[in-house]
Amino acid sequence: MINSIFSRGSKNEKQENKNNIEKNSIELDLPLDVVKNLPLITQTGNEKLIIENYRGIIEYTEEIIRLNTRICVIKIWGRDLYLKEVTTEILIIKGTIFKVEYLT
Amino acid sequence: MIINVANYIKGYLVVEVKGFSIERFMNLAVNKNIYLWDVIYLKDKIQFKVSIKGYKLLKECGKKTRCRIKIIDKKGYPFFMFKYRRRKILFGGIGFFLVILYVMSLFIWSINVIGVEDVEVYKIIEYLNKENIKGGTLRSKIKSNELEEKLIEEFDNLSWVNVQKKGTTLHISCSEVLEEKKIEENNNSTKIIANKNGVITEVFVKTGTALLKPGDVFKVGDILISGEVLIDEDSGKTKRVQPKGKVRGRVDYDVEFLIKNEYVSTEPTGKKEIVRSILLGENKVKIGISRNKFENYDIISESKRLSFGENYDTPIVYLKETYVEVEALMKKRTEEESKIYGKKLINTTITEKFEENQEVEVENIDIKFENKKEGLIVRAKITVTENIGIEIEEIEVIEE
Repeated sequence: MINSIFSRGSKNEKQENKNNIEKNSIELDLPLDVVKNLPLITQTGNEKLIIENYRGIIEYTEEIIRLNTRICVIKIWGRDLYLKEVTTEILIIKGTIFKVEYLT
Repeated sequence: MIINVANYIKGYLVVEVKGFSIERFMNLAVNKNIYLWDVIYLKDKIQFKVSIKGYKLLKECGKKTRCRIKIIDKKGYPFFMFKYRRRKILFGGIGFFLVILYVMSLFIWSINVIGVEDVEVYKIIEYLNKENIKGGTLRSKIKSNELEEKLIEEFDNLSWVNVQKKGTTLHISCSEVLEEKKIEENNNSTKIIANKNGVITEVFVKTGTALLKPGDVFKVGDILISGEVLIDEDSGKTKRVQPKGKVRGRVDYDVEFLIKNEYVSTEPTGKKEIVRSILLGENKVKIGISRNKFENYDIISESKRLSFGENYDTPIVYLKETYVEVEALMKKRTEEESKIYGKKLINTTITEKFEENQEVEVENIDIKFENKKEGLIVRAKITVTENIGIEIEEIEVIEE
């Protein structure tokens, strides 16, 4: 199993490995945001939203914020939205959040 | 909170960016590891905060994405220092203040004695002054352990002393020794005689012979207990001993007062003047222009010591004195009022006379009033039981 994670091979093998990793990570209960690089979203009420593992800002206004991640685009509706902190890993959005949408 | 303070110390800029694709600009900045915070969207531009280092890198991003960068505000400690770099006296003042605060905290400004009576407190403080410990002594000069030992040596009635330096206050807590009953050994006394007139109520003899019984009337000078003890009844042989004992008797005291119908009372006229001043050690500095203009006045003074927290006292005391003008007025009492006043006077005389002596019991107070032209005469007969005997020496004449 561990071999399957670290082994290298052709494109097909890589795809297989990837599938294996996904399966194994579920079995092992590894955090998916680390293994699959999925966005980790923490929301506090409707006031604060912390997004880790994002790839970039597509749109930024007071009402709508669109973010790119590995698997989907996250669209956030709200009022008086502003970015509390912006770094390469983390993005903290504050304001009144109405809706969070995942566009695949 | 901590992050805010850290940012303030490092210094940061408030920047406004205007351009076609602000999102691209932000992604570029983020990829360069520039930390942005408090990003606010303002219609066609954004405003955010960047560190000083980050701002230098931002310029490149601006060129690439054709965004215009404008500095709106510079905040933080480095900018503050730069702005006021020429104002030497301001910084000197801050430094001077800190130095003064530190120097002041090196001294003792007040001494607090707990655990003994007021009289003893004065004695202890007097002793401390003699030892050069008073307001204004260096804290480091006072050695708690040595002072404790010295105090115990100096004062016999202290059994335990604890000296603590808390801030600028010196706390001295002590506990007293329970008083021992003094044993009087006056071997020369030969008899106990009465020093008052009255009736005996109780006789208690340790050594010697009692000459009077309870119920007997005695006068000043009567022998109560003699030093001669009968040894042999038949031959009438006697032996000299030192008389010891206690004799209690009922004694009357007469008290007389004249309470005048007219008397002088001082009453406030309603005018007052408040004088505020600052005490620096023993020097008094008045604040404001108000001064005392009255001839007859009472002073009500309040004082407050300037201190930092509970432990750090300073030698600065704020003093507020209220001068109240008073007038002397002639007033008249009615009979009822003078009677009440008379009773009050008698009570105060009783407490004054007998308070210190615990063995005195007041049995009866007989008050009589008599009206006269000038006022009311109050006569009181106070009956008390007390110790009436005193030991005296009698020089024996030795027959040759």
